[in-house]
Amino acid sequence: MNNKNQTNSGLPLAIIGVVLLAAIVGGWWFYQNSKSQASKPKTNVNQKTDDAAALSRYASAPPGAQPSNMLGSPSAVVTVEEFADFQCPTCAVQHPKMKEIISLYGNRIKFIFRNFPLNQAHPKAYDAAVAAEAAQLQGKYWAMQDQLFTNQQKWATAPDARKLFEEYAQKIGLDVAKFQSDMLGLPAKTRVDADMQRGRALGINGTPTVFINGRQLTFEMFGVESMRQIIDAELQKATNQTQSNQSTIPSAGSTDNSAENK
Amino acid sequence: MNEFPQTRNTVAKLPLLAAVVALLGLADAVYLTIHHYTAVPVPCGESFDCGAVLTSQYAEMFGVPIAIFGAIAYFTAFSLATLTAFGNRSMWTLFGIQVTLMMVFTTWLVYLQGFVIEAFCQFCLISAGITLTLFILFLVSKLSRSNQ
Repeated sequence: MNNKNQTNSGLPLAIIGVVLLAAIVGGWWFYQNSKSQASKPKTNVNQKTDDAAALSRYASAPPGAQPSNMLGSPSAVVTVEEFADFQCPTCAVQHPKMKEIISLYGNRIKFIFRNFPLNQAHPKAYDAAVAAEAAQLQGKYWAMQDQLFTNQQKWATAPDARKLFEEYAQKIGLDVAKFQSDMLGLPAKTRVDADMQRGRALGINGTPTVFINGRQLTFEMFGVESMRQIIDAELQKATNQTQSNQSTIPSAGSTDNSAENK
Repeated sequence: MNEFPQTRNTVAKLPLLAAVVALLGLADAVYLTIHHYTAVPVPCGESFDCGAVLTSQYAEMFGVPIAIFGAIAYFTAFSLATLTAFGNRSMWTLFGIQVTLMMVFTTWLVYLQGFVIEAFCQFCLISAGITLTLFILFLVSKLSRSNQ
């Protein structure tokens, strides 16, 4: 052993070099591999065997908060419905992607956001949902939703999250006194509970959960590209349908279930 | 070059063992680094906590993922242990300093997971275990030498 040490003084350096190279090459290979996997959209939404059952469950589930927190056009043929928890990091990551989809499609889709706080895992999520609904009572749901997601790490780790919610309320121009009393009142909570009830009926056990026209996306489809493919396909389907039965009925809201607009 | 007397044969093998363990740490850190850049979002569930740790503000330092620091640290530890295993004893002292620093940093990370983020990430805990192992290997080598 000692002889070896003397004769092969370059060996340890060679080993170290090989390991460094292996780490870099291995890392690079793994990087490329997982990148291509992440970007590969899996559009097998339509091939689910329990598709019909899932669709009918979607159609018959309780409607959630009325009127729902909606963007886009109420009569759009494609409905994107997201269930999310304000304290869930993945939901915060998903937030800008959903915003991109909303700005891309505008009135061609109906986007609905549902509260689904996972109370066990995220102790402050329910309060945050109530804060968003309290803002909704002053017509500023989306501004508050944006504040909650972008500042998630701040309030989620703060000892008193409500103080921060009030700061956000002030920042987006709410009447803070009304906001404070709405946080305590029943209307905001009732809306959160209604959304949760709908979520549970749909069998949701994690967030974010996204439905496009009643079909639940798997989380590999959460990328903007994947969602675009699905939405485009649904838009195309709707166009084909209206072309084939143009003479009978106007298409608006034909695939829609929930009594959305009020 | 230093020579290891026969009686210390097992102790002499500790650097070799440390090099292998550090290699595992390197693999773990590389995995976490890649994960940091390519992670597909994992949904949050009722009982387990999705990407809370790896997407937290503590996952990066000066805009660089912590995992990269980990990879560099494990690579350094591996190199020092390898050099020691091939007879360069003075490197073992550097290795000791290195793993002690790693131990301090790891303790801080585990504290963050346990008390600030209140969620654990599996591969971060594996890394903590590996650092602890390296630290213990170093202590054992020191203790058994001072006993003789």
